[in-house]
Amino acid sequence: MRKTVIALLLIIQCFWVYAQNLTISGYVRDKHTGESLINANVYEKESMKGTITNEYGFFSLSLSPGEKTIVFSYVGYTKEELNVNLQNDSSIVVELELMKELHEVKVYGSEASKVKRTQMSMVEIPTTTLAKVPLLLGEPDVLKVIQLLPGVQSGTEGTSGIYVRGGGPDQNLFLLDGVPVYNANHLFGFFSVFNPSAVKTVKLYKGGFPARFGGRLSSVIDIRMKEGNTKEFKGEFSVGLISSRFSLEGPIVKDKTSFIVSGRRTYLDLLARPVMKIVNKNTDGYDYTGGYYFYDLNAKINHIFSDRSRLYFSSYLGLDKAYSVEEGYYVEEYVRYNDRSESGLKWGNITNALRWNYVFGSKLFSNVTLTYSKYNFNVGSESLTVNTRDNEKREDIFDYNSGIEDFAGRIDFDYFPSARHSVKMGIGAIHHTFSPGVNHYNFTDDSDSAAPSDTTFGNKNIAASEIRMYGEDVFDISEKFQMNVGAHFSFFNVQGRNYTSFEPRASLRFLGSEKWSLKASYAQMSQYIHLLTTSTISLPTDLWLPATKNVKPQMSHQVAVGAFYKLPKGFDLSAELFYKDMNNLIEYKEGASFSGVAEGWESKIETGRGWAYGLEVMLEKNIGKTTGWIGYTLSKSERKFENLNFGKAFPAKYDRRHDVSLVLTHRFSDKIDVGATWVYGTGNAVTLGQQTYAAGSTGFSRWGVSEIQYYGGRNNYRMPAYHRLDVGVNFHKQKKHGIRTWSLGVYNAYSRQNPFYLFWGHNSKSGYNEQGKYYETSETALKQLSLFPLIPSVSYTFKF
Amino acid sequence: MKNASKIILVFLSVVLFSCEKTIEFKEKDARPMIVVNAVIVPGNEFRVNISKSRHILEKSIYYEALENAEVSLYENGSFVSELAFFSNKDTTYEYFDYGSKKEHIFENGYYYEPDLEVKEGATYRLEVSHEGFSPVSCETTVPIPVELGNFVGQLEKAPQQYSNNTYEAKMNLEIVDPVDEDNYYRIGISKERGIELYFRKKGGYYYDYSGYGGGYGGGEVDPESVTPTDTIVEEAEFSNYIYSTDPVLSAYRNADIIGTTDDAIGLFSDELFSKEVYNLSFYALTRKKTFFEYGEYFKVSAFVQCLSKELFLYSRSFDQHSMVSDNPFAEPVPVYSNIEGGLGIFGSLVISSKSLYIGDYPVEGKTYIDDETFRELYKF
Repeated sequence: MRKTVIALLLIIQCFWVYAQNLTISGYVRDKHTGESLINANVYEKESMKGTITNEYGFFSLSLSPGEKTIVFSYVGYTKEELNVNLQNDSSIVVELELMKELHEVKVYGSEASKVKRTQMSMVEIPTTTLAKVPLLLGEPDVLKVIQLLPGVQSGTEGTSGIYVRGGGPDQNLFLLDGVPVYNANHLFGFFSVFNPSAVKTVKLYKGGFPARFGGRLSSVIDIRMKEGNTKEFKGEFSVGLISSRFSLEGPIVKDKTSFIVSGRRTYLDLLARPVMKIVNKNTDGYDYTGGYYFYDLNAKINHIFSDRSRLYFSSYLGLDKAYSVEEGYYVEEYVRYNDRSESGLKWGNITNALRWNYVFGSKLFSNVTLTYSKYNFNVGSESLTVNTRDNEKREDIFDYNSGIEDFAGRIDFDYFPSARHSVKMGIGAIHHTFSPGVNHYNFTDDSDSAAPSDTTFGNKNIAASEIRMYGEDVFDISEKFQMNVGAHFSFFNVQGRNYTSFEPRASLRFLGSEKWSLKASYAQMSQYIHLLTTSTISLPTDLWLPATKNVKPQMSHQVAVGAFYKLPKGFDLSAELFYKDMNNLIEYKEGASFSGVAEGWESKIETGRGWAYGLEVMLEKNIGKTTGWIGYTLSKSERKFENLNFGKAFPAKYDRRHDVSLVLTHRFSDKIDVGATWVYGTGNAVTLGQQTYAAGSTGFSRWGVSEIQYYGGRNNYRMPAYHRLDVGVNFHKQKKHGIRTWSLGVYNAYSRQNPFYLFWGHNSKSGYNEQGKYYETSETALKQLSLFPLIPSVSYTFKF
Repeated sequence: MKNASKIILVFLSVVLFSCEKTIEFKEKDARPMIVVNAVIVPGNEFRVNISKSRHILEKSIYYEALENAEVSLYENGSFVSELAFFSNKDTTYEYFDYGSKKEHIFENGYYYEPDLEVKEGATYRLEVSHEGFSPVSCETTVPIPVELGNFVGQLEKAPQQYSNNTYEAKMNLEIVDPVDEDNYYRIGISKERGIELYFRKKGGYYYDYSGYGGGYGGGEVDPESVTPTDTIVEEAEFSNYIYSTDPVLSAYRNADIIGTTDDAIGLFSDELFSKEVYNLSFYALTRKKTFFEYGEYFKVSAFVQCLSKELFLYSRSFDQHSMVSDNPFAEPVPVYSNIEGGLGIFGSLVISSKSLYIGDYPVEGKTYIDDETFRELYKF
């Protein structure tokens, strides 16, 4: 701790020396919407000294006094050049003009070049790509696009789970406007919670983590929501096969206050309800209804007090609900009883963030953030029987709740002491409340005074406090070398136990020329929360649990080296090698699965270590009518737990030796564009019996099993390879009030039966034998369950 | 969570329109191995079952003995003998749809050493070879019996989630654990009761006491209607599950998707013992009221097996393996084997036991007869 503070002071003092130049600072925004442009380039034309805008569009550039030409550029926008006579520190707001919308993709990435920046293992996904990549049921999905990037495995078929560089599903930090989102999935993982209509930028960090990020081992998915158009009202709605969504934004006070609201809801339950009513009506005097839906609601409002001060409030609310209702009556001994029972499960996230940007002078940008987030999972059943003669009620209620609730506050500073340095530092605190499973049972019966029962049982809530601080500096060592060096410090208090972690981070870039660079990075990470999850699919019952006095925090070290090359005709080629070592990972004990964790979860887990290494190659093209990328990953990910697999190392569940993704979009004209993706991956590792043998006595009488399956090791067998082609086409048309788009798509175009689950089953055989006698028998056979054959989709979108 | 599991399962089955097909099994290494299965116990014959593993797709409904194997036995490092093969015929049944079955009679057998007396504390080693298989070897050290201290208990009415006539036999058993070594145990019980002849004639434990309103196993009775005799019929209860919240006995309890199994509760180790004498706490259920006033009693015999480590690991993993075999949400559990180069288990155990009577026994003036005698005398 002391060392950290001293290091930060030294860095600040060191930069003070550079403070002799004059500074031009300000914001870069979209001319038509007022949206801040993140990572826009700002540089002095002659010296090529420059910087980029931060997450709020702010920049600060120190230059020597005199006549200067400052260039402002941003992907998809027309470049602006500004001539200034720099005699004093000055502040400006620059508004860039978007190129014609459908051309936007043309210049993506050409400026904020992968070659030049120090940051490696990071990918920015343009939101325009989201709409063009064909996906399951035509639903644009941030995480599904991320799955198409090298180094990211997709987990189980159709789901949004991501496994980055051999890490687990809990090792990804999903930040929505800087607020952690714990469960990023809807519908058992088939859709993510991020409504694409509200998303402004998406960045994925797989390694080389800057010091400002902490708390997860494997990745950071930094999603920023739009701020809301400060100039005019704009909107969009889309109607798809299973859901509809809308987005509305506009100024409340022009150029001062703006808002954006967007929502999405599925409606399979509404469509199915009349059908269910007809099917179930009067079958036994009872009516049955049931269904499933999810919705998301995003809202954001912001107000510009001055060029120095701006306030934001953003909120997200999402819910999944599956339910069934049974209603009817019965007659017993000449008394009618009305009967109603309802059961269901629901889960959802709430996040709220209030942030205030303030600029001190021209070199120091501050951001104060207060956040609240909550994830809750609930299973409940309720039945009510009413004796209509005596008006006596019998009520039976059961509830199970688990979740996590956070209150957090942080302050971050961006300090720009010179054109060669860009410093970020900050400190924050989080108070967590973990609810690892609480049951509530309530029973009342008016006719039986002895019956009432009201009990709550299960795990107690666990409170934990976390403090994080960091400092990092991106600085030019020379023209060729640039470095981002920093450290992240964290403190975690739980159950009277304190954990601390000092995590050095470093990234180094060697710029060989404008066309190629070499990079290396090291990052140490710690994670104070664990996700206790089943091995097969993403379920809302997966429990977020803290490190405790008995369960240590997860730790990792990751090193990566990479080469980046800019090819002609807008192609970018990159290759990265990585090695990651992870400690204190948790898994269920052998034989345990999710329903057993209602109590004593700590006794049902094992801790161990894991490691992963691999090569990622990506060839992208971001200019021209045809854009997209080919990604290839060669990797290996293993785990070793003392009490699993008899202490021997075994492949991680989503260890995938080869992973290929091909993403292509082509714009024929302003009216038509098409997209296609093809993915190929080595089959997932599963534990599958290879032989059988006779069970021996255990020295104790028992029923049942007399045969044992021999696996040869955990995750010893590979499922068949996974591959799939998705295609889609968008038809755009300019209408009087906006642009309408018809999107047609086909998921799994050649209807590949990809493996979801393997098991040993039986094939029945019957017929007449040689003696003419009929026989029936069965043979053991390896069975594969598959989801999602060819699935067409259609949606209609209107932007105004 | 039980409700959650059910709801999720039903929901998934509706939502996920899956299709199933048979695919080719590309085995990597499915060469058959020698399987050795033996648990040796002092006082019992030294007997070893030897068979072979088979490819998972091989169709057979039984595992016959592997004949003509060379089985060498060593005691504390010294060669004892080559085990002889005893051949016998075995029978198994193949069941078909609609309830039909087919009988299969096959050659089976085991290897044995009739003259060897298994000794406590001795280490036994087996070396097995057979043409066409890789040779295997295995070893076990027979444990020393654990000393048992006090064994006490009482009967209490069970909580309301059970039927009205269910009672808990709450018990405590002291175990004296050698502190300087790792020890592995399994606890089990058997229950008996003495029933007043008058009640036994009305049904006994497994039959309803008709006419007394008690339902299964009998409940409250009208004292005026009872005509006691001087005879108590001794009857065994066949459900011998034990339950416990004792952390030592719960440590290896497993969970599956539907609920909690109690099969594995018997296994425990001295990992959580903090002192030499540990007082195990557990209970069993019995579904009949015991009428102490008529001379009835309830008897529990507890046994504690001291297991060799390999037998403990095998038993524990076998429990888990069996439990999750049909659970798609749980990771399959491999079964432990200490057979080097092969499969199976070569383990050992010794047994200590102690009995407990709840109620007076014997009572002067009462005659005690077993259930078989009762059936002969009273033609039940």
